[in-house]
Amino acid sequence: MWAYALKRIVSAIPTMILASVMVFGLMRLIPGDPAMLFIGEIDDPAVLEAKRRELGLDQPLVMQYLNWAGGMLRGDMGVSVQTGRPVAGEIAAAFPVTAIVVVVATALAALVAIPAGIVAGWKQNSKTDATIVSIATLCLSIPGFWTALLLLTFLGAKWKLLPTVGYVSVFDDARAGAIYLIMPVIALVLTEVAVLTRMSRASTIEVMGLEYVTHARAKGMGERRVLWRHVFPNAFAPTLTVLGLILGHLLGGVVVIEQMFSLPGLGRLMVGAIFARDYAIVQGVLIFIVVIYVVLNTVIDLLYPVFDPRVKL
Amino acid sequence: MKKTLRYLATAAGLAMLVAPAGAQQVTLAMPGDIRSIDFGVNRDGNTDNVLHHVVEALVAYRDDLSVGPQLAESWDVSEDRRSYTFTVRKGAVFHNGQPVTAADVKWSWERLLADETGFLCQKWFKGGSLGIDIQTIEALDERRVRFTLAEPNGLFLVRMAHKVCLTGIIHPDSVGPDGKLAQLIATGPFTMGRHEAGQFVELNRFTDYVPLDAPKDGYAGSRETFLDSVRFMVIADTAAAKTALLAGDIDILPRLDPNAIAEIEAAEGLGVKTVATPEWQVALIQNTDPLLKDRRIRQAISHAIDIKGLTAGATNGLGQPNPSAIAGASAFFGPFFQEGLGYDPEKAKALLGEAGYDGRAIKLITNGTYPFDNISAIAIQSMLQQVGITTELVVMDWASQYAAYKEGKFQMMVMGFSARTDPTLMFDVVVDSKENRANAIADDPELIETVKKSGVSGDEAERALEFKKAHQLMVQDASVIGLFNPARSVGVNDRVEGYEEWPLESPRLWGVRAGG
Repeated sequence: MWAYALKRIVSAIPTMILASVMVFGLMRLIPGDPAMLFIGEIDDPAVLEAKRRELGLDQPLVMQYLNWAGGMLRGDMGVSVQTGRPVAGEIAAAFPVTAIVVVVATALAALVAIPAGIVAGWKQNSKTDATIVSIATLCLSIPGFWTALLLLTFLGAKWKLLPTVGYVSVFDDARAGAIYLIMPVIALVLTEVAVLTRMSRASTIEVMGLEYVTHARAKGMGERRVLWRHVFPNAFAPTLTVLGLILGHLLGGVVVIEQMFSLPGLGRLMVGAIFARDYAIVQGVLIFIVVIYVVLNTVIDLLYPVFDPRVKL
Repeated sequence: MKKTLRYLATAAGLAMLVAPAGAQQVTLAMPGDIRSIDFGVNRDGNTDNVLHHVVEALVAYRDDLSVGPQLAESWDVSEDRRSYTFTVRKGAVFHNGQPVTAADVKWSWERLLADETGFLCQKWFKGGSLGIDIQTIEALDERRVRFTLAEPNGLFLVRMAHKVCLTGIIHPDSVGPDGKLAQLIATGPFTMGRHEAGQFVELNRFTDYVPLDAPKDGYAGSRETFLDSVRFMVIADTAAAKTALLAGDIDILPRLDPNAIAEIEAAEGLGVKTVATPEWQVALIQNTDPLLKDRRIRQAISHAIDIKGLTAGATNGLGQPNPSAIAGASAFFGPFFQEGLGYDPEKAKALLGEAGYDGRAIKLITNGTYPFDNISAIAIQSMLQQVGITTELVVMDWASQYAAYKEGKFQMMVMGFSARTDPTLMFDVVVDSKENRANAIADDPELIETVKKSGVSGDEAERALEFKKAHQLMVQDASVIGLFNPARSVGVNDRVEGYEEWPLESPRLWGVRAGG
């Protein structure tokens, strides 16, 4: 297993290099000059030139890339153009905010969606199945920002049950932190639960049709036991893959949710940086997201044999 | 369901515990975090709005956009108009309790003007385009400090009071051993409090603050403070900010979306205050473009735009149509400046025929960030279509449009200029030679000369004449088509007393009280 993990990490190196080139190149392709945006309405060409020099933007692109990539290899992600604070620090501050919302929401979504999907698959084409699928489709169809607005309007503005703005880390104050998490987590769960339910249902239907399930039933095994012993472990593996992808995707920043609930997470950091052409932040965050994907997918792959004995690493 | 509601009610109770306690605190929204405490060096609008509560300059803008006293209680100008002697406000102390002296003022200014500081507006006071050049700064006694300019310049106080480049006076201990600003030991009515990056900035009342003995007037006058603390809450999304105001989680929402005004006005316990601003919405035409270098085509475009109709539509009737760089709120404004080329579609068609316009499409750039820009551009496209001018609307993000503007790489664009308190400063944004600045728009040499003269003169009547001439020249040149001065609204919770909007629309939390 460890040899496999090592192999995966080594094979990620070319991915990282390619990603760094793409991230760097794409940012330079977007019109807009960080130095220009930094100085704003001050019309002074000398100030602009000085700022461009300070940011290294006067150097050839290849040199700019090598300076940045060299810094990354030394563990120096650079400093934010806008705030002058280290990029690593900005990511370290924003990531836990995103991570806590995403992990809690994904865990809750999985707890609801996986059983719901299994039941829907087990009772395929029944009323129960139709109800579950309809709810999942409805959840999938409602845009995240709309769910967020509804929550803010009703739970926040109209009924005044939850605060509409602000954030407290659960690590600083668990109860207060939990309160600020309620609405973002609900909004995220409603979106993610739909994808997971459909995946879980499809896998269940596929497994239910396999011979060993028919064999188990023919032996006289009870339905619950069939589901728990034979269907769930085999249907869960593909859902786990999707779960990994969802986690990777969400940990990269839940932009809409963070924007709507004023959460200082990775998504909002990234959006602000893109608008300000804060190259160092955008590049740093994107590389960080690539690392998350690589790590998560490796972990998911390593977990595969636990749920599916047919898989050997 | 009952259980859920009970849980949520408990949560609401807990939320109240989490919320900052104390009746004398006010929370207001701001769309982004502050960049730094290094005023004038690493700043943006949010940074300025916060730091103007902590740091004071010698002078500041009044409600009528003239310059009034702030840390200086008075000043004298020498006969040759080269020397300005300021007297520091009696009883003024720094946040560390030390009295403010003329020597501190001299030190602060010398620090600002030193190359190492990186003050973005150094050139404003060291021989920049408008010719202000500080030669000496002398501390005459404990409270009097004299600035001497190389040449007389009518814009010196205007620049000194400028909101964007805060010329704040700070205590030398504010600077660390490396020469960088480490903390703000200044003279404002609030001190810097807690700053949670990306979340909020809190300011605390400076209890030893001695206000100026003059009424609150813009950024000038008394800054007597009643609030114990102020929290600037970062809320990037406008819909979320509006909901927070409705929920009572924030007390003040500046720059209220015009479409939300009716809802806020109708809400119980909330009100809206609206004010005309000196911001200027314009259509810019690149006069070096092969098609648009023909003045007749530019004038045809100007004749085709009905700025009254456009203003009414784009601003919900709250803006003031204005074809000139002289803001409606300016003391120099008058009926003369409301005269542009005039809305005349027939004349526009005639001019196009004369110029031999062949129907080539003109790219009209706007952005999706600022609603006034976007709506104005759509209206202009439709109006130009009426006279036979084809335009292709290009909607960019703000950073891309700004780069195109700065580099002069566009045919036509709609954008808004932030407030400039003096007409010369607004003219200066668009008037210059293209060799000097790629983003210069109107480059008629006579116009450039007229604008320069308007800044140098210290005589109001003389300046008024120069402004009239500059306006006429700019209208005829038709590279810059003035549209309107937008109005800005702020949503305020009724528990906040004494909060007033003013033309520069920056929040002012002094003179404000918070009820229960």
